[in-house]
Amino acid sequence: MSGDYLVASFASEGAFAIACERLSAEGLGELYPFTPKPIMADRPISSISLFAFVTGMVGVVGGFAMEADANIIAYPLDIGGRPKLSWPSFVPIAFEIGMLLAVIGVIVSFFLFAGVGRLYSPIDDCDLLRRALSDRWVIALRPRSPESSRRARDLCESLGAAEIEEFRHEMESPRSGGAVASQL
Amino acid sequence: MTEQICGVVLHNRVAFWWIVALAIALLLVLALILAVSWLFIAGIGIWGVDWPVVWGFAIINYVWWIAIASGGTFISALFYLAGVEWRNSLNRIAETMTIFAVACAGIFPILHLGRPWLFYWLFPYPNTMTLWPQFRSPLLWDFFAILAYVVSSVLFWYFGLIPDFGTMRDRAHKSGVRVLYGILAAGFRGSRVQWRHYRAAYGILAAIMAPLVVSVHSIVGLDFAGAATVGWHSTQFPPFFVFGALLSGFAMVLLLIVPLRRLLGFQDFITGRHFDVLTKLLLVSSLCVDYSYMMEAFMTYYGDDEAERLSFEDKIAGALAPIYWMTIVLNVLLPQIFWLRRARVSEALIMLVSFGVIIGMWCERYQIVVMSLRRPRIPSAWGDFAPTIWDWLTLFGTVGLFAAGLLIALRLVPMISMFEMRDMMTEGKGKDER
Repeated sequence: MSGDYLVASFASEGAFAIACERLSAEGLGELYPFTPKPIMADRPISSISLFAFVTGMVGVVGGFAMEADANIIAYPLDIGGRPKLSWPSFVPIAFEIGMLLAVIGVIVSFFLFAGVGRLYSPIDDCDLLRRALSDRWVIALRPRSPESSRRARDLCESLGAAEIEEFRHEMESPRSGGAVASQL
Repeated sequence: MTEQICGVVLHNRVAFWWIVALAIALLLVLALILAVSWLFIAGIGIWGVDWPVVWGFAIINYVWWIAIASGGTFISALFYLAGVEWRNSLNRIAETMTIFAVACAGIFPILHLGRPWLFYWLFPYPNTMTLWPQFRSPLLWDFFAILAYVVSSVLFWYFGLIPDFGTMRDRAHKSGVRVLYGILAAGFRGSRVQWRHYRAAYGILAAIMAPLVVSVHSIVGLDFAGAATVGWHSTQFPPFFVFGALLSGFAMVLLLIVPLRRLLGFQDFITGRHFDVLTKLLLVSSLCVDYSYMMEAFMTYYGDDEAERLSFEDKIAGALAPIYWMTIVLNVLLPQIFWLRRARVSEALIMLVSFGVIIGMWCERYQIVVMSLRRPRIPSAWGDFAPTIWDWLTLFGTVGLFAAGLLIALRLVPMISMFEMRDMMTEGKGKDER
């Protein structure tokens, strides 16, 4: 999908937040906000913690099972008369494997859920976005109509946008954009 | 702030001090390569280890480096969970320190194996001999602990860098540099959804890393405590090693930030307050270590084990007593100066004490490893240990490896977490406005 986009950058978080709210309330189109730092009012998404818990538990249970299988079935050795299933000795390795898999699980799930890993997006061609991870609060709006675009521009100007750019290109996938817009 | 931090990597010309420091570090790395190559050819007979002191420099250095490494994780993970804002200026330097310190630590157990090229036998892989490692051994726990810690530390470090790599990508002028940082940023653009996931993921990683670092040091402690060796078989070893890790970790962070803040022009970000907080932490961890030293002495005389008593008396009054007392002076007495506020903000004193603690911690490891092994239970088995030139070259070689890694990282990654600083600065501004 291609079309016209209006990209506005703001120097302050306050103006950006108001602009997001107003543009969203007026239903001028889909919003794609980009910020130089996390917005503290946004609650972190918990699905990653579930993923981390599952991968961590797989590590703990799998690690313990591996140790038990190796020392009971595959290669049983009498070490100082200890029982074959000396389970307290198996706990540290199971714990370490669990922690390691949980860390890997967090990072993999972040890449999957946050849409990270896609090195190029058409939005990268927008000059204003270059400052989104430095010192500007950027809103990319996909207006519903030329009238919406004009109204959005006026609104952004009135709210003190530092720069406004009309951007004609294919934007990020509607899935992630929709998710962003719905959370505003 | 962003311009200043990025500028160190993207715009600043290579400084003379950096070239000189890297040249010295690379010379030491050359010494390490030489020492390890000769070790591979001739075997561990080139080291000073022999019966009864079979754990020599390799284990001393391993425990020393892994303890130093932990400081970064404590600052980065534990203080993130505690919500302290001062860590934002320090966590990147501390984490980078961790990466290279843990790399140095990881070398020693492998070299110590005797046949280092077969190190992968430690890993439980399906093999034709159906031979499995001994999972009941603390030494194997160590292998898994180091493996988990190395991989997790690198991932945690990289994860913390992703938004800053995005900033570097967007600010780079040369296309090659932009592509490099673009790949490293992995398509992070700072969208609201990405940040929400990022915060969740970072918080969970910090919550995993904090117990992980404690477990790694507890397991290193169990390597010793698990053996029925005089001076080692003690229940206090796991927490004692965690205290030692805190002490040397904080000391190394201080030792690095004092010169780096000036050399990189970070005086605005790393201030007297950071020195004040870190030196207080160093003092607290020193007190914890002092408690462990006292408990060691107390338990020796509280119990009635003759061998323990002889071993302890050998430590405090035997041939190697100067090393024990140097440990006490450097780890116990020297940090006490930080009760004074003037000392806590004096850069010269901070450097002196931190360097002293780093040396003191090495001496502590020396006395734990060597002094216990040289006096086993049966007097007829008593022996001694004298390090060789190859032992020293390997030790200083890893110092060079650590320094070289850190110096190269200084030119490639922003040494202050920009997005966290941004957050802190906006918060501060908000408070001022209110």
